[in-house]
Amino acid sequence: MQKILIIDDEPGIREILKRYLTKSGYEVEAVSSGKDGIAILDSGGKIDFLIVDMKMPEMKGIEVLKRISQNYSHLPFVLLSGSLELEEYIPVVQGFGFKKFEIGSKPIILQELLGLIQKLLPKE
Amino acid sequence: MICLFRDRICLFKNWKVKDKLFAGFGVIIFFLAALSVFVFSASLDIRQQVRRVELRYFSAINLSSALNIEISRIQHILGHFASDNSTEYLREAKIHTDKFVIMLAEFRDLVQDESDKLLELDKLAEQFDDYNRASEGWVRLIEAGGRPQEVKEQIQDMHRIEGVVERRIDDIQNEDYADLSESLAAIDHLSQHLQTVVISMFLLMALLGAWISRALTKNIGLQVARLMEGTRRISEKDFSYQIPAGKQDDEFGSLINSFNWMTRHLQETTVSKSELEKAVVSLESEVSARRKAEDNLRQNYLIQSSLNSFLRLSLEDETFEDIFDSALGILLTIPLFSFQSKGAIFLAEGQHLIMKAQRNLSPYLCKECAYLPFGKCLCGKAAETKKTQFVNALDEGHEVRYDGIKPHGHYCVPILFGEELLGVLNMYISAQEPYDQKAEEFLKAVTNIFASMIVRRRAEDALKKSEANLSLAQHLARMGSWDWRSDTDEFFWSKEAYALFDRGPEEMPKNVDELEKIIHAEDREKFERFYEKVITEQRKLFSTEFRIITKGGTEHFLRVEGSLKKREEPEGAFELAGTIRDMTFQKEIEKSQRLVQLGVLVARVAHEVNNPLMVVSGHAQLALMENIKDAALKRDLEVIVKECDRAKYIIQRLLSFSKPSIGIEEEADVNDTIDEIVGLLEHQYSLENVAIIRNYGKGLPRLKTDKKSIQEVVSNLLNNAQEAIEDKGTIEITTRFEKGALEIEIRDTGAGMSEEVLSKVFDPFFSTKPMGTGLGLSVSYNIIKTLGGELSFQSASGKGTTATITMLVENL
Repeated sequence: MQKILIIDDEPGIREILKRYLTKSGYEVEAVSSGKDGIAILDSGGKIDFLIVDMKMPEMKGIEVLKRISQNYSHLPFVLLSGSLELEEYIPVVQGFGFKKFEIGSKPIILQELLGLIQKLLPKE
Repeated sequence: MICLFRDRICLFKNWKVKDKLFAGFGVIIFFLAALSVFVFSASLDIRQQVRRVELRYFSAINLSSALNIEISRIQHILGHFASDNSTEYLREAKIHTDKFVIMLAEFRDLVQDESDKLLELDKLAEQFDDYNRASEGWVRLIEAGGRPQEVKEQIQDMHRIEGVVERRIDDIQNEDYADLSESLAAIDHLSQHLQTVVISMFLLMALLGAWISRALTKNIGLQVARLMEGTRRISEKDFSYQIPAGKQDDEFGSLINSFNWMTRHLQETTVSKSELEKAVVSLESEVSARRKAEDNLRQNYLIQSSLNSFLRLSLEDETFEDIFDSALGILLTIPLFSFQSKGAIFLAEGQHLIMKAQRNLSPYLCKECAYLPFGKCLCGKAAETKKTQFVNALDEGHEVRYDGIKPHGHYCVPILFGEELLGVLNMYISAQEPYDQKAEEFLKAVTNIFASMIVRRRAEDALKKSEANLSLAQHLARMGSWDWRSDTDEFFWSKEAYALFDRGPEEMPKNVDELEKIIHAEDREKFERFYEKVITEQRKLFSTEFRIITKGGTEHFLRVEGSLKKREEPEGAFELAGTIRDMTFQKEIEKSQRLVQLGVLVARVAHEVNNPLMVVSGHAQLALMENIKDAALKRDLEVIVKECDRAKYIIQRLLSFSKPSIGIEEEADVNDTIDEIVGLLEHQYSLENVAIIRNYGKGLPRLKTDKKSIQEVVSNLLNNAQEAIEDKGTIEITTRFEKGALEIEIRDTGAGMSEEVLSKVFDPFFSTKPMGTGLGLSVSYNIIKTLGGELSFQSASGKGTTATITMLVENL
């Protein structure tokens, strides 16, 4: 089973995403900060996909991506944002070395999110 | 030949009138005489002819008498024969018969003519012939030895003829001759008479000619001669000659009268020659005195007018070089003081003269004297000594010289302002030209004008520079200056203030009343209070802000700062002066800063709202994934998801207000895009008695832009339209494609908007609704602008509103 890591400071979001993606057949782990997320990645656990919220207190989503870009640039992910500057992040993220990613605007329709995941992470 | 003929004509031309008249009459008399001679000779000829005929006639008559006598003689001889039959008689008769025949031939010759009278004789000749033939008969008988009886018979026959001839001759002599001589006499008489008439006529004509000639000579020739004499005398300036006036009333008479009148008049009006000469001499001296005075006057005029032109020049707004160049041009063309058309003007700078203008100087001098130290050459000396240098020869003082320099002189006049040397004017004169004090005075006057011009220009330049600095500063600060006098209630505005008011100098407010009129109605009261306070409290320093309406109808936010100063007179009068500054831009910046702050706030709020919204939507979506049997519940959940989605877009638009950006672009049909919104709202509107009329055009280009943005704007416009309709009404939605542009028109039958409301309709936070945010149309406007289109309104109070979205096809 493919494993998705969700990094979002909002518990309500974590909850619905976890429920929905679990229902959709994924193993889901959700953390509330970038620091925790990086710790999970670094602990060597198997993570196939990442969902990162852009706007978080302490470490911003983009900063998280920068931190993990060295070791996990192969990892596909969806960056969620509630602001308008979605396109502006694309060249930044590409500059980190990531190739497989999408940017989704909050609030996102769950089915649409699933479509993005399936596009970036082919089923085993 | 032609020459000869012409000479004759000329000769004729030179004839006097008298000669011409004589010649004319001579020709006429000559012709008359010739005619008379001709007629006279003709009459002579007639008389001769008459006499000749008469002669022949008489000869013929005489001859016929002779013939008749011969016949009688032959008869007589033959009578003798009859009595004795002697042949002797016969022979004698024969001799006479031969004589008769010869005479007959003679007669025949004579009468061979056509004259009537001779014709009569001709007939007689025929009868003579008969007689001759009869006589020939008996002659032949005798020669043939005929019998005397037969001869007698013949003779008897001859007697018969003889009787006839005799009678005939008598007749001719008695009757015809009488007739002939009568008619001949008549002709002769007539001829004689004719001759007399011709001769007397000739004499008469000659007499007449002589008389006319005399008359002409007397009447014309004499008068002409007198007139000639008169004119000759006039030419000799003798006006005393008077022609004795004749009795004539003709042209000559009046000519002579005129001539006499003329000479009399001339005599009266002409003074004697000596007097005349005296007068001429005095006139000449007077003229020369006057000419001298005129020359003086002219010289003074020239001096004055050239000085005037220098004064005029000095007021012109040209560079020194241009003015000096023009001045030299004038100076060198004045026909005064024998200046040569060469010269230069220098301006002093430090201890040097700088050539600012020159005319006709050699290139060497132009170079050498371009930067001339004080003391060098004549101009340098003039500068150093501040005194006019006059030379009329090329002496050692003329330090700057070159090969082939021609002898000449100079006036080098310093241009002085008090004791300050400003420059030098250098004029050329010919060598040996004596010093002329007037010339120097003139040049000094010119240099004085130059000096005042230079000083004035320097002051002006300094002033202009400081004015320009102030103006630039004011312009950059969008600031003007003003002052106002209490006694005259009169404003003075600086040039920069015009721009702040967007008015020309003539349209600026002249007094407080006029200023109040253009102040925004909302600020007028505030301004009045402020004005009262300044005046009554005599505040030394004051400031206020108000909006004015410019000529173009836009609002300008102005800030006035100033101070109050008492005037010395009239008593109690004071003056307000200060600055006026355009704060519109600052106000706009403040507003936009507020908007930016608001944008930041909205963005933050939106972000905060996005998360709960996603939670709500997400829970609804999760619920929908359950197998829900209750259709109403399922629909409720679906509405939650859909409205959350719409809320997301509204929030995005709110965000776009602080930072507009385009959402997702997708291709869509225009009418479908609009109808999706209309379909959602239609039911609700119908409950409010608002009917929607769809007036969708066909063949419209497809949208390739942010469909949801368009929907949001349309939804916004429809809501406004619905709210504008108080009781009931219609909203008509029209789509069309015209002239390369897509138009979406939403027309309502609502209350409409006043002009004031219409002008503010896109202002953020402006709303006529009690609970309105004032963001709807502002956001809509920004959205359409971002998409590259236009949103406009047409409305009037009570006449409904039409909103139109226009998008060029290339922006779709």
